Amino acid sequence: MSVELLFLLIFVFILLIIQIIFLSFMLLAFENPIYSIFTLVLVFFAVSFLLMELNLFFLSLMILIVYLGALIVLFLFVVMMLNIKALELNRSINFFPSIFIGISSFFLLLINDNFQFFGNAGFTLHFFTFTLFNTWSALYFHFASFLNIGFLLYSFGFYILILVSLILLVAMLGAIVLTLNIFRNSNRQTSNDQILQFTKIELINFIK
Amino acid sequence: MTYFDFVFVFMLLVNFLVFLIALGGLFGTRRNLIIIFICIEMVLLSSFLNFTYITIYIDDLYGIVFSLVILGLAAAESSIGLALLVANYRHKAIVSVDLFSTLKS
Repeated sequence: MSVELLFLLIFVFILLIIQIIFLSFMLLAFENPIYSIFTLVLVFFAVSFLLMELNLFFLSLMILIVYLGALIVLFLFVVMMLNIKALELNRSINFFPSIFIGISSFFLLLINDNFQFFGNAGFTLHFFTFTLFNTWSALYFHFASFLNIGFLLYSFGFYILILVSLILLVAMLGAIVLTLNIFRNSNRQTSNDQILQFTKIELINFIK
Repeated sequence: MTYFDFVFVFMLLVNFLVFLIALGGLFGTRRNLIIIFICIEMVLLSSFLNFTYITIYIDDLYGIVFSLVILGLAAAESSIGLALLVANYRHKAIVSVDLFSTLKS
């Protein structure tokens, strides 16, 4: 690894750290919870890029899959379902979109073709397109971390895997039990009324 | 103290700063439940990053396994918490924590 590449790597590293700290401050500053959820998305993106610089590809991809694919979607779904925005105060100056655009443009800079911040074995972010690997040895070298983690999880650390799966099973059953509609006096979704509401309007339009 | 040690300590301090920010969000003036869940996610994220850096520092793969445990735990925690929020929101349309004290005698 040359000295210039090392400096570039450290520069991107420090930029990502500054971004994480700044965004975690901004996350608390927003009045509307949906803005803070979107800033949480940016924090997780920054963390996944940080781990990708440390050659921990498995963890960075797991953050992208589990946090951004499952947890953030869950948060957004709950915020959408509960209509919380009506309870929040309105802020006069809305500076959220400028922050979002600026930081997403930083990520666009990272996925540039000539931006080569992984020094060893000529590795660039062409990784996402799988066009760079001409030899199998290079491919094995870059997927060795995946292999080692899989070996450790399924041979020596199997009890940890079983424990985590039991925790997730209990969480799933608990969520189902908590949100099941048993009580009569709770506000529930009555699909008959919703369908009738639209059919009345359609009938009125049809008669007109 | 080598260069690598310096970077390691710096990263641990950064994680501690993220942890402190998340704690400030937890015990701050905000009383919205969703913000509190997001702050718990940030706390778990800082511990996750601590485990990964210590993995790199002492060159042992078990830290990655424990960070995967933290990842599963965060998923379980947020699913249970959001289910509680939805179950509470059904009975009374409130997200604020101050008005949740119905179990008090």
